[in-house]
Order: sequence, then C-alpha cells, then structure tokens
Amino acid sequence: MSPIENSSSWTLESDLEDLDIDLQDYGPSLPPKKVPNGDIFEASRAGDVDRLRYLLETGVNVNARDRWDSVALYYACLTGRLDAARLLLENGAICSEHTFDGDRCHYASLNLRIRKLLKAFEARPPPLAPLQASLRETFLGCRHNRTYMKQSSDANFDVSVDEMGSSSYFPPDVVFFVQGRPVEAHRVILSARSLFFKQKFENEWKDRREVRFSKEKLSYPALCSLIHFFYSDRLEISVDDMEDLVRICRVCKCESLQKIVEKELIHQKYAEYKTHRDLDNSMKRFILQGVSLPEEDRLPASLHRILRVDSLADVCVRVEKRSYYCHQVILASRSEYFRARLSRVNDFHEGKNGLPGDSLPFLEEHDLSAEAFEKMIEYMYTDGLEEISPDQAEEIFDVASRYLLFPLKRAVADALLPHLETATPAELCHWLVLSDMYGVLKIREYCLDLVACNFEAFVETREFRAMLLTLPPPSGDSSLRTTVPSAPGATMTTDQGNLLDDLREKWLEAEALELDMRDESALIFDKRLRMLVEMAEQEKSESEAEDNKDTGP
Amino acid sequence: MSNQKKRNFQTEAFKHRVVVDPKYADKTWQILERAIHQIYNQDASGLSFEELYRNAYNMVLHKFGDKLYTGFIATMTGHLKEKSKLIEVAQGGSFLEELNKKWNEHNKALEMIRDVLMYMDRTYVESAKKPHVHPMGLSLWKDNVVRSPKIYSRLLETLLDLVKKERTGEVIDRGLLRNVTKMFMDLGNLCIRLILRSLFWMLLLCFTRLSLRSLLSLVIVGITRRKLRNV
Repeated sequence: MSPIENSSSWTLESDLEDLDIDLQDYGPSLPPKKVPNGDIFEASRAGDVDRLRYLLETGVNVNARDRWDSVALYYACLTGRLDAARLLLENGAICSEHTFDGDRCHYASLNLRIRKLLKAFEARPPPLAPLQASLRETFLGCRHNRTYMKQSSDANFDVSVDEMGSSSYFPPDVVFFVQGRPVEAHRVILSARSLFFKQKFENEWKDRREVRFSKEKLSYPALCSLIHFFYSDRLEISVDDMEDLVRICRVCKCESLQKIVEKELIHQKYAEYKTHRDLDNSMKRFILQGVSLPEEDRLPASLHRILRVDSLADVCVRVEKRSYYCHQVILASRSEYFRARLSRVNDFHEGKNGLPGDSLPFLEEHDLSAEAFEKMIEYMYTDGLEEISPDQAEEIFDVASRYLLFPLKRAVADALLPHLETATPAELCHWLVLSDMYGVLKIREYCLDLVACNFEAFVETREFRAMLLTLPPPSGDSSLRTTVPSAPGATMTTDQGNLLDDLREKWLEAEALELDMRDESALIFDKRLRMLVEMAEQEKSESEAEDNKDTGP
Repeated sequence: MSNQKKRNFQTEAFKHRVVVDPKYADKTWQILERAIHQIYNQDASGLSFEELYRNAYNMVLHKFGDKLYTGFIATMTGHLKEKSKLIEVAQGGSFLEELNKKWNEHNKALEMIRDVLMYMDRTYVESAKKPHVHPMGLSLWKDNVVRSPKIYSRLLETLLDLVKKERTGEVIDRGLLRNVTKMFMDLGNLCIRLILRSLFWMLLLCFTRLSLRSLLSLVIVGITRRKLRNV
C-alpha cells in the first residue's frame, strides 16, 4: 500500500486534536483536480497525485524551479495539497527552513497540517537507497524488532514502521536476548558486517537459534541500533546509549564505526557547555549515514564480499547450467518474486528436485541468460550497475520487471540514456516500443519527446510507419484535449498506456495552435496517422509479395 | 551507432517471438487455468512455480493482463460455487466443520494463486485500478459462500445454537467457533456488520436476561470493540 493513500491514519492527527480548530480549516482551499498533461508545478498546484507520481517516475527533478523561481513543493504547500506535498517530500524535495526554497515553503503553507508535514520531514534523514531500504524493511519485518522501533523513534519520524505489515517478512534465523528482550536477525547479514559475528556463527553459535546475553553492561537499545545499522547503513541512537554502543563496537570489531561514535561522544561532552545542562537529554538522538564510513565498511561493499565467498550461501540458483550460490535473505529482501518462491518451495514441484548430496535448496530459472542473471545478482547485492551495452539493456529490462526489481529498471534507463542521443530514428522506435512494454517511463518519455519534436523526420522512415501497424490505434477520446478547462473535482479516467494518445499530446504540445484551434490540430494529427497507417499497410503487403516472389518458385 | 548495421530494424526482439503465435494467449491461459484447478484440488506438488509465474508474467507483458484477470476471477468463482454446494449438503454438526475446512483450503489456495499471479498484481492491477488478487479472492468467498442464501441463515442458526448449548452446560468445540469468527474478521467490516447485526438481534430476543459471560461474549465483544465502532 502506498503511504499516500494512508495519510488519514497519519500520526499528525493526534497532535492536532489538542488544538481547538475547526476541521474544515485543514482542508485544501479547492478540491484536487486532474491535470493530465500538466508539468510538475501544475500537478502540485492541482493536487493531481497520479500525474505527479508519473512525472517523478519519468525522472523529473523534484527540486527544479519554474520561471517564477518557485519549486513544486511551494505550490503544493500554497494550495494545501497534503498528499502532493508528501509525495514530493518523499522523493527528496528540499524543505529545510534554512534554504531559500524551504523557507518559502514554510512561509507559504496554507494551514497547520502542511506546516507540521514540513517540520516532520525537516527532521528526517534523506531517503535510503533501494538496497538499504529493502534490507531495513526485512529487519523491521520481524515482529520483535518492530516493537523496538516503535518505542524508540519519534512517531512522526518514522511513519513507515506501522505500514510495513507482514509483507516484507522473511523469517529470522537467530534471536538474541538482551536484558530479557528479543532482537531478531539474519546470520548472513551479521556475518557480512562484522567479523566477530562471523566467527561466532561458525563456531560457538553454529547450531543455535537463540543466543542469550547475560552481561549487565550490554544494553538492549545499543545492540538494537547496531543491528539496525548493519541492515540499513544508518545509525539512529539516542545520545544516552552512545557509550554502550562504543563498547559493543569494540567487541564486534567495527572499528570505523567505533571511531566515529567516540569522536561524536567527545563532541557531545563539550557541546554541552553550549546548552543548558539541565535540559532533558533523553530525546536527543544521533544519526549517522553510511556515507560517513570508509567505502569498504559500507553495506554494498560488505555484501559484495559475501557474494564472492560461498561459505555462507544458503541457496543455489541454476541458470543455463551454471550454478550461483546466493543468500536467501538478500534475494528475498530485494525481490518479492524470490520471497514467494523461497517460501513456497514445499508447496510446488520445486521442493522435490534438490541435488543429491547437496544440502542447499536449489532453484532453477529458465528463459534468461546467465549474463543477465549475473548482472541482476550483482545489482541485488550492491545496488551497483557497471556499464551496460544497449544490446544487453533489453534483457535486463526483462529480468528487472520479471523479478519485480523496479529500481534496477531505473538504473538501466539512466545508463541507457546517453546511448540514445546518437541513436537513429529506427532504433528510437525500437526503444519506444520496448520501454512501453516494460513500463520504463523515463525512456518512453524521452523517445516520445524526440518523436514529437522531429515528427516529420520520423514520418519519413519506414520503420516508424511499420511500428504504427503494431500499436493499438489512438483512443479517439477527445475529452483529454478539449479546450474547456477541466472543472475542479472532475474525475477523469486517463488511460495511460496508449502510446499514440500520448504521442498526440506531445505533438500538440510542440506543434499545435493555441486554444480553440487545438482541437483542429488534433484532428489533423489523427488524419495524418491514419494516412501513415494505410501507407504502412501497403508497404507491408508489397514487401510480403516480394518475399513470396523470392521464396516462391 | 556501430551496431546499427547488425541490428537492422526489429520490433520483434527476443521477447516478441511468443506473440507471433495468435493462439498464444489462449494456450498460456489454459496452462494457468489448469494450474489453478490443481491448486484448488491440493495437487500442486506437480506444478512448477517458476514456470507458472513466467507464463503469467509473459501474458501480462504482452498486454493480456485483462484476459488473465477476468479468467482468474471466473475460475475461482466456479470453484467457490462448487465448494458452497458441498458445504450446503453437509449434515447437522458437520456443517461448521465443513465450512471451516473449506475456508482453510480456500485461503491456502488463494495465497498460492496470488503468488503465481504476483506480476499481474503489481503492474496490471495497479494501473487498471482493480482490486488486488487477495482481497478479490476474499470477497469472492464472501459473495459465493458466506452470503449464499442457503448457507447464510444456517450459519447464523448454527452459531446461535452453539451458544445456547454452551449456556446449558454442554461442551462445544470452542476452537471451531473461534476459527469461524476469525473468518468473519478476515472478511472485513461489511461481513462482520451483517452477521453481528443479525446475531445480536437474535441474541437479544433469546437471552435478554443473560449477562454476556459466555464464550460468545468473549469472542464477539472482542471483535466489537475493535471493529464495530462505526456500525
């Protein structure tokens, strides 16, 4: 479920209940409306969340300014569009009061609710990268860990904790009890991040599912935050627990982390002179991002290391007769497909065909090449994608959508874009069809723009006309291009997905006459398309006839 | 570009070849339909999850998502109709047991089907703004089984009967009762509201003077507190 739809259950409400304000005052000034072709600023002002999501997906810069020097978030705040503002913030819109754009947003906020939203996001660290975010979800998917996060973090701070249900659950294989309270974890992750845990799991704790610590000194919050750090590369700890954390780091041999925390402790000690000593310190928290550590101590590097060593591997994947030794928890965290596959091993046929003598569970994947699979695994473990050739991109798109690795599609799209600059019209048509098929909006949008702006050049090419034959005809729905502005509150069903509809819109943007002449332009375009299709059909039958001549007697 | 010569123009890349076959969609759907039947008959151990998922994925990729979705609903409805007939013919005490058994079977099958159709669930269903597979499966159960006329009233009576028995000191199967009430919770607000309204009226008529100390009170008041706030 997306957090947007859930905003009614959001924790701000409880804060606002104390204030004696009429509920009416929280709403936006006007009901949201749809702007099917609006840019990011229009969509934010109108509160059209669907359009906004689409635009962000196509790679629009969320912090871009328009010609009045305003950012999209400013418009959303000004018109009181809570959902739109939230979406923008979640995608990294800047809202710090100390910046020009952020300050304007705070100042322009229509109501208290928007202001609260900005405040909440101001205190929030920037969003995690896909790898870290998905592992964090796995960590919080364990029931006991979730209760920890709920208690320790500020409710506003982490709205997402509640929303993660059992969906991202992958059963933990070890439970620690500290001060009588449980922390659940996965051996692979701990072993990858800390030599101490690796050695323990290889020796003393080899067959244990439960480890109980009885030392008084070991504190539960500190260990929890350390393990949370192992999964997410982000440390969140209250200042009071930092000394305990240093001790744990020393034992676990996490030297680089220990150094930073120690340094921060000294800083805290002297920083105290600057504030009042008697202030309540219990809420003060220290947050550390993974990027502060040297590269080899970060999560991607650690996982990259275990990918090469298969002593920890607990599953074997076979692709094109090659075996890959992988780790269930990582596959399951990154891909919903693998999560289902691994948990359903016993229900289906796959449960039976384990290799004799090989105790590892065994999965076989068909219909993809080993090279593509290798690239995907590499991405799953490290979030990294080395240079890929356009020839390979198509297969990776296929792999990424099949295994529900949507961030990978975006990464490939980014790698592919520079190649498209020099592509021929024929190749662009090819990519347009492909990107439409795999839902790679960024590439699709890019190709559509190029086609619309150079329409005449494309019309000249035979490949473009051939492509028209394979596409479903435009819907002919005139409601989208009507000159009447859509009334507020009107709901329109925009059938996103018809390529030719979208192409027409783009073309109208680029070429059409103003206002009421627009409809006429659209009709001209439709007529033009029909003619082209006829032409293409003719060409096709001609070429078929030729083929027959060639192959015939 | 350098590979321009090599590639020549092709919209038919490696994934397109499957569509060349005009019967592709029908053939693939038949495979999946058979699989859904097998899953319902608890005979899935011969099926390959990987193959089924791949087929469903390819169908959606080639824009047959609509066919897949409607097909899934039709097949499941058919199965549930059969099940509700089986439940209807169950005699006396075995009625609740049969219902509970079928409910568990349905749940298990539904989860497996949801996983097989996961790609459709994540892409087609979302862009077409249709209900997801799991909620859809639950509401199909609700419409075809729980609210089928022959079952609905009998279910209420049986539940009430159990409470009566318990009040008069007989031993009843509490686990079963718990499972059935749990089913109502899973089916969501609407169903709970329907059932509870009828149950409460009947209860009021039957036991106006009794305090709600019975098992039913424990179970139902628990739900009520949580779920009935807006009834």
